[in-house]
Amino acid sequence: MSIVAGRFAGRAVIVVGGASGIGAATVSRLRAEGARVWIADRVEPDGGDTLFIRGDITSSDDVDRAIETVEATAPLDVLVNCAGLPAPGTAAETDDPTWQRLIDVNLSGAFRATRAALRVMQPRRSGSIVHVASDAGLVGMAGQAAYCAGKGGLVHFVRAAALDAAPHGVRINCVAPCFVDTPMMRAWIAGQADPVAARADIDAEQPIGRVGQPEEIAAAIAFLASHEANFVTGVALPVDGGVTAR
Amino acid sequence: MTIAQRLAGRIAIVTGAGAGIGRAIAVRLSQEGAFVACCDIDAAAAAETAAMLPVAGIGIACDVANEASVAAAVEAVADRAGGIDLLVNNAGIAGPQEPALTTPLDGWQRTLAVNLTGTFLMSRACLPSLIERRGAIVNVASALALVGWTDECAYGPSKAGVVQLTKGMAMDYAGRIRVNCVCPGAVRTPMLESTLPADADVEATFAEYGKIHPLHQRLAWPEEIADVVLFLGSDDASLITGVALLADAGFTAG
Ligand SMILES: NC(=O)c1ccc[n+]([C@@H]2O[C@H](COP(=O)([O-])OP(=O)(O)OC[C@H]3O[C@@H](n4cnc5c(N)ncnc54)[C@H](O)[C@@H]3O)[C@@H](O)[C@H]2O)c1
Repeated sequence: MSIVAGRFAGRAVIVVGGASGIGAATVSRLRAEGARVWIADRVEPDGGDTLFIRGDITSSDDVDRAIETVEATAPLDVLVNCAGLPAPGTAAETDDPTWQRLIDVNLSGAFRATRAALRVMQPRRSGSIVHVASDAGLVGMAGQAAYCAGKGGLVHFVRAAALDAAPHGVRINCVAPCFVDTPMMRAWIAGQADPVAARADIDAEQPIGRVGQPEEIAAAIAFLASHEANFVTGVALPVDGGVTAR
Repeated sequence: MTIAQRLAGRIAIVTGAGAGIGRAIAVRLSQEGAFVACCDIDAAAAAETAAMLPVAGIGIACDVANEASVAAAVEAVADRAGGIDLLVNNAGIAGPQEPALTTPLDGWQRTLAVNLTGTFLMSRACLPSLIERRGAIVNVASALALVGWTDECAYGPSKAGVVQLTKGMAMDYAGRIRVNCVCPGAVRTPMLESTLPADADVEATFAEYGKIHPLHQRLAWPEEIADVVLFLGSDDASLITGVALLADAGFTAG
């Protein structure tokens, strides 16, 4: 990792789902590069945070209020949305509440956050939005019917929303990570019959022989969010150690 | 101003560094502290770029489509700098601006030779050093690798080949080196100018051409592509391999 000193100097950023995992790593990275970063999440980060906004991405009111909170202090330059949950299960075994909850958080949540950010970014003709999709949004994965649908929907939403936002000068992209060593992955492993074997299997399945670290995803998010990606919009960038290249 | 040094102490080769995107890449990598070997079939242009670098580098005459020329250039870099950490395969030609029916065989072959075979030859020559030093390759493909376009009978397939070569090498050397490519939209360079008819009003044509990009509604600047190459070549892309990253302002999103 190479912190780019001052790349986000003076920038106002909100990281939705910024309390843990990839989101928390993104908050640290962007702060290290000079940004003022608000954290919007259902739960407060460990140790608290002076720029914490409590809210649920399934509530349009909460999302709108989070953006307003930032705007009361500074014009929002960057939205990063890391909010998401897993929902393992085949199509045959997934029940309605599981499906609906997954779509509500992972897909509709991304829509709500994008809409709220665009309302303030588009009139200013500037801003950048980065979502966290998944390699499961690019290729099918067994036993992940709802998750694949939500992330695949998100990847395609990013393309469509990017086209709509382009004439207004706002960029919208997403990263598509592989397995990343976060609380979400650890919870999934803990739920397997043999967690130790499950962890070893996951590493062995990766082309590069290891899963990702949250800081590696944050580095890619920082690039897409920055002016260095000025000609990049509507893309899903795999950050996955080659998983979707094969 | 603090100048971030993302490639301090690294040794990079940029092919086609004598003009356009390649020159911008060479300068960008140098700004980040890399020793840059500027390779180009046009020796004077390579030397000119080398003279522009903020950190000392070298200019080398090299035809990427010629095996002996590639071997000599890579050896010269290894002798001078000690190894290779980053290879940027940027050298390319537009080739015949024709549909299949009127594309001459020699034009087809030269386009494939420079754009695709050149990428293979340079990569193969640099791989031993790249593997030893856990380096990276960044190829410059094109958005036209992914979508059909008129009068690009040879260029499109040559760039599609580069994308697929990128993925194959990423798999072959996974965990040892990273291999990625950038797929730019239309970039304002001498190459793009060369595709215009001789009597064209360059500014008016480019202004119209730029509208293929939903965002910005203009052609890309070479520097905007160089920033993407820098990212893919830096440690910030440590988890990225086998990727074709579009830098086309939404051109192929729709
Ligand atoms: N300009 C665009 O719109 C555009 C869009 C997408 C991709 N690209 C790609 O970007 C790369 C750079 O293109 P550019 O627009 O900067 O072109 P350019 O013509 O402006 O510069 C290309 C450079 O490559 C050199 N070169 C050509 N053949 C060579 C060979 N056999 N060996 C070594 N060097 C050689 C040329 O001398 C020149 O200096 C190419 O691979 C091109 O296909 C360009």
